[in-house]
Amino acid sequence: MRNLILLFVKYGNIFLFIFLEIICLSLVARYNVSQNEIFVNSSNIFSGKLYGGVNNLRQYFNLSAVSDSLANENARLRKLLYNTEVGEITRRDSLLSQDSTLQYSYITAKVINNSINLNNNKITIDKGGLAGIQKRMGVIDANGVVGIVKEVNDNFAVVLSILHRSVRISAAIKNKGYFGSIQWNGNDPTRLDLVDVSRHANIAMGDTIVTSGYSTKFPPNITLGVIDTFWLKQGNDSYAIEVKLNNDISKLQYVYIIDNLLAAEQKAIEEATEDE
Amino acid sequence: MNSVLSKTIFRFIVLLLLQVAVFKQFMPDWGYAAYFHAMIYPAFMIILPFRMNKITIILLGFLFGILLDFFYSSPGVHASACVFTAFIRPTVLNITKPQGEYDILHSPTIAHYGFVWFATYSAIMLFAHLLFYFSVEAFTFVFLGQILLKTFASFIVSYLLIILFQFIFNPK
Repeated sequence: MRNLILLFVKYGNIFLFIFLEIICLSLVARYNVSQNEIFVNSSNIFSGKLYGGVNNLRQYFNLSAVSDSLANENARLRKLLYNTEVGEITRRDSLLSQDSTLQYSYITAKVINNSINLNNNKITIDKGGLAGIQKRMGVIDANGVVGIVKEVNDNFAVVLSILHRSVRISAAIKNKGYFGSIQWNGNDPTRLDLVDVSRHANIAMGDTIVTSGYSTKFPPNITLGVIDTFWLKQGNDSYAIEVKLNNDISKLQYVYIIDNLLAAEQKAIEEATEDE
Repeated sequence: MNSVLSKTIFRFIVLLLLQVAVFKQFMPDWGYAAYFHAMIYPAFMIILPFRMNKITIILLGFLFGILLDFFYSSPGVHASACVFTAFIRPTVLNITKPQGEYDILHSPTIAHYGFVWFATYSAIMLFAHLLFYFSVEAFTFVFLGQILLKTFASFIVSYLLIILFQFIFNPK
């Protein structure tokens, strides 16, 4: 016993060192999302394949959650389907549906790399140019907006997540029509800021925020989230609004890339008037 | 003892705040600049007083690292590197022992042992710290090249900061 105590007195620091290192490393292993993104350009083929493989494995553990979300999505689509006629009637007089029945088509893709804890987060998806994905297309999932395509090669694409500070998305308050733009302030991955909503707007907590459809990237009325808090900024004529995201970026699995078939046409006419 | 304790607590707070409030904000995320991490906090472990025993130093390192991890939201990464640095400190001090012995009442600073000694000693400590830190951050040696690159790049910035810290605050 005495020897044991002596041993501890003499080598206590080594035991303590090993003990604390084990704690630290298990913390690292358990809680850190891979932050290799900075130095691994995840859109290159090799690491893309690697992530794809890892993801294949990981998917088995998420099957129940995925089937839930797919079921939800089915329900939503069915609802849309049954309500199509109403939609057609309200849209009949709109400019967009006059000579084309289809404005948006969707490409499905799987998320193979994602982060939420950096200042500027990016997502890698498993489809690229060969599947028809182009730069600057919008990306959504079943519950909301995900981001905007930044880089594309043949088989992969990198999406600037909605949790990327240079992403701004044109948004509106549902049924009230006030619009602004939504962006991330870099802190909480479940919250975004809605800016440029003018002070005479009549808004309330719990109002739903949707895409405005003003940009060519997203169709109108995709849910973004709900108003969590808002206040008037000092000496400013707009509100500061915090929006609670509807979707959970940390759990993305399948996403839809929006191909706006009339984007080029809309851009062309907008650019034609830009010099005026 | 009281002055040692208050000094240590003071440095603890100052270095922690400097790191998370100032240098963390400079973390660049474009191109090659991402390799340069400005880290001033290892100075805390480097200039702990001599009379503090090994166990206390390791525990302090752990506490300091865990607090940093809270701010960096990277549980365990800083803590493991700080514990490692605290653990090797007696050995490094032994290797760099100057003419004569260390005075047990002092701290290992420029004020007591001169610039050249401090430059050597802090270089070894900082390099070991950064190498360990980036290895744990990557969590595998597959990216050894990247780890070394980050270590060297960050070493340059951090080393200058720590030396500068010595000249500005001149801790005794």
